[in-house]
Amino acid sequence: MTVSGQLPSASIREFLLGTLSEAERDRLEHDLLADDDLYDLLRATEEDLIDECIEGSLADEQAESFLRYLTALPGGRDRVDFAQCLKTVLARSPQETKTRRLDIVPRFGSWLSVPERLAWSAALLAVAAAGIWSAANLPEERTRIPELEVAGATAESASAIRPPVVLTAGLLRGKSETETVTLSPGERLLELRLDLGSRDYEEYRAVLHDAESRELYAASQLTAAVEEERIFVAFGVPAARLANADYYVTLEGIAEPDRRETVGRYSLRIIVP
Amino acid sequence: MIGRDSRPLAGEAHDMSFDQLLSSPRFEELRSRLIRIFARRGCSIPEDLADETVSRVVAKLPEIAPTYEGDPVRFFHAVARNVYLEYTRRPRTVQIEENLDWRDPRGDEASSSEAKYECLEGCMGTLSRDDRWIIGEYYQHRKGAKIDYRKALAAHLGIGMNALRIRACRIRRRLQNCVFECMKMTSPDEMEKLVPHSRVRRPLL
Repeated sequence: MTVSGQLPSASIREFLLGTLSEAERDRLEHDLLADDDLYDLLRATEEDLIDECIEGSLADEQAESFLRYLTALPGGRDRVDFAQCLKTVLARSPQETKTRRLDIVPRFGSWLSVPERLAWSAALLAVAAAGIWSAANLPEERTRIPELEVAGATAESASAIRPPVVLTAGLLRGKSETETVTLSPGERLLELRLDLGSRDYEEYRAVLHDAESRELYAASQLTAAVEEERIFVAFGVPAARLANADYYVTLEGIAEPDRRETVGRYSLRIIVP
Repeated sequence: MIGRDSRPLAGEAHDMSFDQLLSSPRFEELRSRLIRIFARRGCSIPEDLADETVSRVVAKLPEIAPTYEGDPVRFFHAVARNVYLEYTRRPRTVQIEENLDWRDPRGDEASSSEAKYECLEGCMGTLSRDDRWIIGEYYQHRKGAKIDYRKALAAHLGIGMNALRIRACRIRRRLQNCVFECMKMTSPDEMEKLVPHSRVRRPLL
């Protein structure tokens, strides 16, 4: 923590807007060099202010001061560009967000005490029996956070999201079977899970190729995850860019910064109705 | 709780030696913080001044390190202030127009390309479901409404507002790095260099 023992959110904001007094700025600069929490919060505040610049909710003078600061930082312009991109992409895929929200409800249940979980289970069974599974039937959740209510979500909308497509490496296990995926109209993202068998690397890189071995898309800094005793690496491919064709994904383990080792090759056939 | 990386906990920085502060990856963070300090003071060359600060500290180390008592960070800060003062005393150069290719983002809705959107959508798929959900919820609303919404979201997750902001920021940085990596492979300019006239039909996703 800082000298004062608290993270001064307001002071950080003023610092970034250039309105902090000289004495306070000096103190905050020192804390910034010494305190990791403060530095993390400063970076988060930078992102908030970038968003406010884009929204136009900062006063002109403040926005100009902050943008002057930001553009002096390495990669500052790219961060503004990215913020616009993030805003656009999140705004045009609200349905996915809503459905994901349903997906994680059971995880919140794991935080509850045993009696609470039993009460939840009973409530969920009652909902299922009535055939009206929807977030509107989670009263406790609604009481705690009404803003997060899933308006109008139905079992139909939840099932509209494809479960991740699990691919098994052919290269390592001598299999040559090709997973066939039929894309649904309007599907935006195809989530692939590359089965690993064992977790041998801290970091992985996946590259999607077409049948002519041209690299089409790459995802770096991937890490292995475990679910239901299966170890896999997950990444997403924008579905709109996939055509009726055969593809394959190569997965590399990053042994050292400059050394990649092939982990496997995964085949995939896409059908676009 | 916010997950911490291998960096020392706050408050431990005072116990760090100069060597620890200057060791990788701590050094890069220190440099990055110095750059921000100089940038906020209005310096046009914050990276150079940060490097100058570190160089001076390193040059002084053999002399001061064996007997230095107290907080090494304080010493860094004092050197940075001197570097700044010298910068302000430098002869004023003729102001030229900077950042000519920089456009004020306010009101500019078309600067991000479709390729970048596609990269971002793909990168969203590399996040865990929880992180994807959090980033989606965090950026749900605008202006006044978002503050209340984020408070509710933090309460929902059982963490404080600052913890939520830092968590969202880390997810956002991961996404950003992923998009930059993705764009290296999808940049029309790069493709144009490799494959003339590729702008007409961009072969990459």
